[in-house]
Amino acid sequence: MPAMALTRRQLLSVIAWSTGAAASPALTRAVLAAPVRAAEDIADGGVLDAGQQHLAGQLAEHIIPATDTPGALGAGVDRYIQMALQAFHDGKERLEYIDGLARIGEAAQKAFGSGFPDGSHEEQAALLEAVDRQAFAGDDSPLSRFWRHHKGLTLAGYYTSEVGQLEELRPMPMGPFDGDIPYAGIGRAWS
Amino acid sequence: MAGPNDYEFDAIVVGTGMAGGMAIKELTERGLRTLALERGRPLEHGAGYITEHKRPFEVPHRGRIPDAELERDYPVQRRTYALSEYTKQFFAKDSEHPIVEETPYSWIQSDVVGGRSQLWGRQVYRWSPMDFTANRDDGHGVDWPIRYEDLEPWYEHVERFIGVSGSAEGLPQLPDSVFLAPMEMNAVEKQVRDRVEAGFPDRRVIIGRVAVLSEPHNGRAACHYCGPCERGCSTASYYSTVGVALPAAAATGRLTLKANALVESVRYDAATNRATGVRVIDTETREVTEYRAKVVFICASAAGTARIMLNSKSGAFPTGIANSSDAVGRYLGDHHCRVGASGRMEGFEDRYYRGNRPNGIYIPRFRNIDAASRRDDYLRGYGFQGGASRSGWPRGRGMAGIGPDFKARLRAAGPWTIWLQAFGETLPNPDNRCTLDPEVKDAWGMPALRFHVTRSANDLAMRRDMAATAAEMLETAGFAEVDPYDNMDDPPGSNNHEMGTARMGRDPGTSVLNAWNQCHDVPNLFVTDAACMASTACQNPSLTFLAISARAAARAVDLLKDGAI
Repeated sequence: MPAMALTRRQLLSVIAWSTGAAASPALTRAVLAAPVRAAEDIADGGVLDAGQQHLAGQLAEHIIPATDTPGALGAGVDRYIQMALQAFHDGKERLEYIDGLARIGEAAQKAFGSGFPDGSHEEQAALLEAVDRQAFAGDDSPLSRFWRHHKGLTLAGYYTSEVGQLEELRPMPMGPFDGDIPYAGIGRAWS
Repeated sequence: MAGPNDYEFDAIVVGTGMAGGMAIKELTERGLRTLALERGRPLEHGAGYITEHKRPFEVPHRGRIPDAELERDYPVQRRTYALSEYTKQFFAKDSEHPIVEETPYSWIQSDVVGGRSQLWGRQVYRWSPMDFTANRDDGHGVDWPIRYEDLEPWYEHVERFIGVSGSAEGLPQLPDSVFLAPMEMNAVEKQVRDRVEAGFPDRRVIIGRVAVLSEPHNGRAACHYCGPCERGCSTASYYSTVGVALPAAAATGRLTLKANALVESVRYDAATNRATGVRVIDTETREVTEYRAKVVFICASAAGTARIMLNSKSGAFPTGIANSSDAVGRYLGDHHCRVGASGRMEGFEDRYYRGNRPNGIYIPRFRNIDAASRRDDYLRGYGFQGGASRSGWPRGRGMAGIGPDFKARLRAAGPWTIWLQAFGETLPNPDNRCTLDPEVKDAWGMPALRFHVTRSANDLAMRRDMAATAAEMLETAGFAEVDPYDNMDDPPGSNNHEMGTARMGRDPGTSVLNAWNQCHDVPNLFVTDAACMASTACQNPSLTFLAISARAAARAVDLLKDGAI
């Protein structure tokens, strides 16, 4: 697969979220001068770096939080997203995901004046609720597309995890088949 | 030290899939020392089912094969629902077993002892008297040399062995099997049945007929409803060669089974006009070995059998053994499908089920079954398979919301949905065929198959009716958001019901096999897998070629005893 170079704009957006501040010209020049990580290079160490994985996990935890059962972080969804980006996404899709994380950073900057991780829980939740509302109201901006993609990854990672399969949902027991029984006796979905 | 008995047998069976497994069991039980040859890898009942009962988090990629691996190893196989991280060990790699698609075609290949009996959908339906006279009556294809009455005792014979769960309905177009208890419909399926039968008196909605045990049978435990049979079943609760037929054969002491054995050709002696045995390439060592037998059964799947026959050239048979009719590889039919409707049911939130039922509902054929149902836009007919269930967490991908309330909504079982998919009979067409590709070979140098299959005007007209009728029935049953579909992008072949490539018939000039599945041209060479079908009906073919295999095996033993072959 040919190396995918980040565009100048993508690099700048990556800088912005990781520093939480507008990039200085000197910093920008330094980053642009650095070798770009090709999709193949990223693969060995994980598609996302540590900061990006942490952010992905935080976003997932807002979608599926800890309640009476663990949430996305407790279920290892951030690690699942790394695996999924590696196994089921091509270079272009991986970069779009990374770009999407950067756009969340930009949105945080606009909404509460810092990078996403530095916002309060309420600030973060309010931002993501707005992003989610827009994404499911038919909007097709890159941020909305990223959010729908991230939500799908979060759900897949959570509900196929041990937490999702055995604690949050009910594992289907092995035994006789009962085709038509009251839902009340079970009360939640089978996994 | 190898002795002559290591290479000489009473019978050779090529292929250990559905047909081969039954032939192996019948031939050994009837006294023949039998060599069973399987191209694919060994598979041990129980221990070989390495993903049985595993949860998604217990396999490396949560059950999905990574894209790079799919593209490299499974570009064709990836088209089937049955391929996943849980089942890939049973599949052939297209990189080793390539095909050539002259027209788009999906040849789904296993590569393991047991063949696709390991993976199959387990739906079993007898064909009816009208299926065996259809060719005679409308002139498409050649008349079957047998009738339903010839097979009826053999249907019963195999059903008693394999175990079939279903309900007796007394339908002329779908004769009842010998049944174990039927599985239950769920609440929404019951409404579908009640409303469709009330609204359309010519139709029935029944529980599927399935080769899964609803009660203990012949020492095998009843199903425990874990769900994905195709991963393998340690309790042998669904019928497969490895779980059921091979143990019976092995118990006779007359079975020799060799895996990793690619049969490259059938050997022929023109002086005696007999198949003398087969030539085998060991897929691990590439060593070539010849085995001899008095009778040879080829059960390598419709396309696989044609491939071996076409590759068995000699002076007497320049286009392949027993191919004086030029019919080998031709008349490649299947069931056209990927057409029907889906819908969503409001209500029934208070109903659920317990257990993953490995079965659905079935709507038997109601078109062109009598004068009243005669269509003027197409010949033959179709049935529907389908089922209703409550949607799970994947519905969250399309739902707005985040946080504790969203999580709570996905904890609950979702709305009821249903799907109906039609399976339609295809008319015999000599130009739908597989041939040996002149250049492409598999990893062992055997010519790859080249496929050419196109859909007919009859198929297309039938599909228009299939989709419209499915939608009409779902609307009558009270479903909302009824969505008919017709996925013509899905290539022929992917429903795994390919048939017809060595068809039975009365005339050696236009068919390959006689009424006993002997090759017209070579009387000790038998073909009993789906290649033998002179027409495709709309019912799943496996039960029929299980019955045919048992009947032909019994005949082969009688002929040998009488010195006739």
